Amino acid sequence: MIILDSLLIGGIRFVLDKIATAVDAELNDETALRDELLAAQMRLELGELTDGQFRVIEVDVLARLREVRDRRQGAGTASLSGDYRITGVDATVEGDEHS
Amino acid sequence: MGGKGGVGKTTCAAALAIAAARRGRRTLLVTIDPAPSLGDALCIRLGPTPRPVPATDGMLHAMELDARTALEGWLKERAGAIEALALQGTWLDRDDVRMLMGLSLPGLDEIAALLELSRLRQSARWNLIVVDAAPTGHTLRLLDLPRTFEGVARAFGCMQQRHRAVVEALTGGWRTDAGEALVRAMFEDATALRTWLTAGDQLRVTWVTLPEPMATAETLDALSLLRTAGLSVDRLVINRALPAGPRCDWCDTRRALETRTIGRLAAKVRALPGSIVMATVSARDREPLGVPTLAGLARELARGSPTPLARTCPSGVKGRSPALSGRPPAPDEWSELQLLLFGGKGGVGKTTCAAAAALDLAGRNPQRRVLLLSTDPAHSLGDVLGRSLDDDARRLPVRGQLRARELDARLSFERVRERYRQAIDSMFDRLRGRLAVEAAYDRQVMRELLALSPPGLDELAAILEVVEVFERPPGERPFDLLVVDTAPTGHALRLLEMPGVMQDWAKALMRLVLKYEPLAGPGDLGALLLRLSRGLGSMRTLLADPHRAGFVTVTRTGALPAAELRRLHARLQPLGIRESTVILNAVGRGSCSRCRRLSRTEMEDVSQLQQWTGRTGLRLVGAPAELPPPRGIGRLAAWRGSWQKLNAPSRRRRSGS
Repeated sequence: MIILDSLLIGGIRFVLDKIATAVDAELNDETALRDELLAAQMRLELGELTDGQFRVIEVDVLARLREVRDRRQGAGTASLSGDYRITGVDATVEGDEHS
Repeated sequence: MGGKGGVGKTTCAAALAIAAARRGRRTLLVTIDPAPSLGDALCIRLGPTPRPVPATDGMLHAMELDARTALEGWLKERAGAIEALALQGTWLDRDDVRMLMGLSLPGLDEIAALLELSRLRQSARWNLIVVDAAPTGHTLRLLDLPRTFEGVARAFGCMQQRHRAVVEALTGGWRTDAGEALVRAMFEDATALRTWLTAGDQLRVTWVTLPEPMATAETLDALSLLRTAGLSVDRLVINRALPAGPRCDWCDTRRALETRTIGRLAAKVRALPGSIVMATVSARDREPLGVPTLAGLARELARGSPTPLARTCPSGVKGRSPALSGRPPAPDEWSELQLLLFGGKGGVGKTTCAAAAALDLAGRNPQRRVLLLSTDPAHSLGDVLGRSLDDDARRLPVRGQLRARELDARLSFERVRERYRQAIDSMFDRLRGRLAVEAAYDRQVMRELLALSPPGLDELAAILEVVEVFERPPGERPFDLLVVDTAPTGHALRLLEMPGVMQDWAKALMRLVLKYEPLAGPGDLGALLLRLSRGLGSMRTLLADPHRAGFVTVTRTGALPAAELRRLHARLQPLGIRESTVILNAVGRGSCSRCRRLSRTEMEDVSQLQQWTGRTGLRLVGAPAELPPPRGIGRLAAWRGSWQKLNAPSRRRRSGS
């Protein structure tokens, strides 16, 4: 219902902006990575992931977390490797939506 | 009919109902104890619907009100309206709502039971309902139920308001619907319940107690709490007072102690506002079972028995019994455990046995840190130890490392609830940040649901907080062995069964959080639910691990405790909880003709128990009766030293056979 309400109120542009913010956050935010790991732990507890599948996700997320931290530490010394910033989204809709 | 466990509430309720039926009242006798023994007392099989009680003059029906069935019935009638309300009034979709409605609702069953009682009361079929209530702590909690029910109604009301706001915004108008009618009816029912419970002309409480200091102390507490809650207590029954008889150390001591206790109680009751009629009922040689015997008890309930005058009181006396042969009990395997639970019917002496066992364990294993925890909402651990206790683990001045704590479940639950409240708020804050949506109604629904304290959930939350300690590495735990004095059977069982129910809930809520995770992230709420589910999982594993957890059942001689012992054993099996020991408490009597007669009956019970424990492979320990009962650290420790082996000697195999 929240999604429905916001769609009614804000329109599609609004949602795309939010997606942009979300992608931005995903690239840069440690919180997003920790959330991803937490979600994987929850799926493991629910039996939706096997131990093996969880390990793969865990290794991947931890590596990305390290990357984010390295980048942040590096940002102080090298100006090129600063945070990414998503400034907008281009969307094109083609073909049958059910295909 | 209320009172501490084991005081004879059930028999008194049955006697009162039989007497009322004989006076011409169309009477319904209902037990709402989750571990009912009313059928045992009446010697008939009872079920969840009223059945006529044979061999009574007048009209008497009896039933065991099953809270779960009552809840199922209540929900079934309203399932459509509730589902629609949840669909329209929250962000949940049909799959979510169905998943949640398929789960059992801990605690709400008691509300449904109370509503069912209220419905029966309105039936023209009966004009008197006699209720055999659950033991004290849980009876008092019953008084909170209208408030809990109002909380559910308020949560539903928020969903309804949200739906209405959307409809009004889109269509400019509003027509009342089933959801609105449901919410209104729930508020009306809650008000009616409260009025019924507190309007003195419709409900009266008869409180039953024993002439023992611990029982009367609890009675005085309960009377004042009932009065504060607005309930009117008009009769106080002092049950099982020893009648006059020949000279005997045992009986004389008991009479002297009883006379003193009754005198003190009477003085305090007289000082209370209002008038409470006190009636003393004398002890029977055997439990009053069956309608004719109960009718005799009813006559005494009506007029009361004179309290026999006590002769001089010897300082103390120990019970004698041929069952007590002096053999020490087989060694227990408790010292290696992490969790040792003491359970049994109310009034059998669970607390005394748990305290004595904990003192002994701490003394024998000075390197192990032992925590003795009482979870019965009507605590008596402090009285038994002769020390004032509270929710902090207090070090006891004994050999070894022993602490004792009376769990304040409400306080623990409040802490847990605060964590969830913050997590939910931060989830809605994130929603507002990411989607610029202020989901005010949803936030309010979640707050109202969280504000509910369904009965039993607070106890589980509190215990979980304590047991979580075993998740830590051994060096970081504040104790190594937890000895738990549980609430009487029915409620202890629910507590033990609840981790499974709650884990289903935690998992269902985790699925919801994951489903809506792209919007708000799993956040703190996800982390809390994950921790809850893991904690409950570990608790279930712990309970079912015979190397880490043990269950000791405390019982007494008599048909009712024996029947309950067998039922408890059967219910523990599916939970995987290993019962290792049965303690038969208060064995032994004096030497007068009455005591010898009782001793013979006791021996028959012991022999049956020996056969049963032989078949089930349980250790049977006898704890001798003492007058006055063992209180205080020193006497408890000495009493623990007098526990004896009761198991029948194993038959030697003949050689060659």
